[in-house]
Amino acid sequence: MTTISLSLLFFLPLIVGVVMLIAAGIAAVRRSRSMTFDEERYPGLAALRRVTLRTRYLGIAASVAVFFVVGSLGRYGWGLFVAPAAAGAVVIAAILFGQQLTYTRARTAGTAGIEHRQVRDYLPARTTTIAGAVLIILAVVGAWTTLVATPDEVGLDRTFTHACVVQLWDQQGDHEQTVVGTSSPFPGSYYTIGMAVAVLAVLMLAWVGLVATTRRPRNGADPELVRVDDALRRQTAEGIVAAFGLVVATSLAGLSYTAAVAVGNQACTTAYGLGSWGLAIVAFVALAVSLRFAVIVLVPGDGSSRRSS
Amino acid sequence: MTVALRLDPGDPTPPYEQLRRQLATAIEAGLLLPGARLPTVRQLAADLGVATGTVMRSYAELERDGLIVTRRGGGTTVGDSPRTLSEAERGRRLAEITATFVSQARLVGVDDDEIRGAVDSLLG
Repeated sequence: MTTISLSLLFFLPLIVGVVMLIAAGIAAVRRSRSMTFDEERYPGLAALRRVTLRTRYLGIAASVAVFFVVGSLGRYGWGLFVAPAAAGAVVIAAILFGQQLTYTRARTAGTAGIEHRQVRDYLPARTTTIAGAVLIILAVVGAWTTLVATPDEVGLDRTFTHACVVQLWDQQGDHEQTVVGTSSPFPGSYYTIGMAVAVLAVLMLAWVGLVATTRRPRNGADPELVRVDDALRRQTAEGIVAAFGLVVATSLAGLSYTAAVAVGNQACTTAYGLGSWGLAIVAFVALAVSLRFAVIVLVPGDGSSRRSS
Repeated sequence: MTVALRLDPGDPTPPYEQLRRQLATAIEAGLLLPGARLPTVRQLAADLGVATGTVMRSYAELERDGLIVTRRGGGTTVGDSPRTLSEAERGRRLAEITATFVSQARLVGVDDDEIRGAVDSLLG
C-alpha cells in the first residue's frame, strides 16, 4: 500500500467527521428561524413557546449528566447501552414538562372550534420515517447479535465465538486445524435486553408525549391562534420524535460498532471481515443520522408545515 | 367559515344544551355539511373545559334528532340528510338572536350607536 493511501486511511475518518460537523452546522443555521406572531395578542402562546424552549434546553443539559451517570452503571459497560435511552427520556420528559406547565395559559376555556386533531397532523414526516427505519435496523442488528452471542467465563452472554480453520505444517505434514477464538465485549443479551427495554420505554414516553401535544386544548375557532398553536405543536412533536430518533440512532451506532470490533478482532475468513466492515458502515451511518437528530433537538426551528423535516 | 362554539357561564341554560343548540344551528344553517367530521368527545370537552359527559349528552341528543351519526371507529360526522333551515326560519332565528343581544346590551346602559359600533367592530 502506498504512503498516500495509508495517509488517506488515517485521515479519512477525520475528514468525514469534519464534513459531517460542517453539514450539521449548515443544517442548524438553516433551521434557526424563529416563529413570529403577535405576542401581545397571544401572551399565553408566547409563554408556552418560551417555557417549552427553556425546559427543552434544561432537559438537554440534564441529559448529558444522565448519560454519564447511567453509562457508568453495571459491569462491563452495561450502562453505556442504556445511557442513550435514559438521556433521550430526560429530553422528552423536559419538553413535555414545559408544555404541561404552561398550556393552560394558552387556552380559552369555554370556546372551541369544529376541528379534528390527530397525532399524524403534527408528526414531522421525514424525521418520523428515518427514526422508524433506524428503529427497525436496530431491532434486526440487535436480534442478530443476541442470537449469535455466547456466554463469557462468568456466564454472561457478551462474547462472540468464532471458529477458524488454519493450515498447519508440522512433523506429520500439511493438515488443517480448527481454532476457536472468542472476543468481547459483544452485544449479546447481557446488553441488548436492557437496551430493548429502555428503547421501548422511551418509545412509549414519546407516544404519550405526542398524544398529550395533540390533545392539549385550544380555541380552534381563531384562525391566527390555530396557525401559531399548530406551529408550536409541530415544533414540540418534532422535538419528541427527534429525541427518540437520537436514542435509536446512537444506540444503533454503539451496538454496531461494538459488534464490528468483536467480529473483526480475529477475522480469519472473508465472511467475518465483510461482516465486520458491514457493521462498521452501519455504525457510521447511524452516527451521521444521530447528528441530524441532534441538530433538530438543539435547534427547534419555526414549526413551519412547509419544512417537513 | 370557521364555526365557533362558545359556552356562556352566565347563561342559566345547561352547558350540554348550549352546545347542542349551537351545533344544531350550525348543521341546519349549512355551516357544517353532511359528512363533516366533528371533534372527538374528549377533544371537544378539553377545548371547552367541560366534562366529557356534557359533550356526550349533546352528541347523544343530536344523534337522536338525526343531525349527526356516530360510527364505531369512524368518529362522529354530520348526518347525510340533516334537516336544513328555510330562509324564513333563518330570518326568524336571526331576529330572535338580535333581539336578545340588543335587549341585553341596553341593560348594561349603552346607546344604539355604541351597539352598532360594537357589531361593526366584531364583523370587521
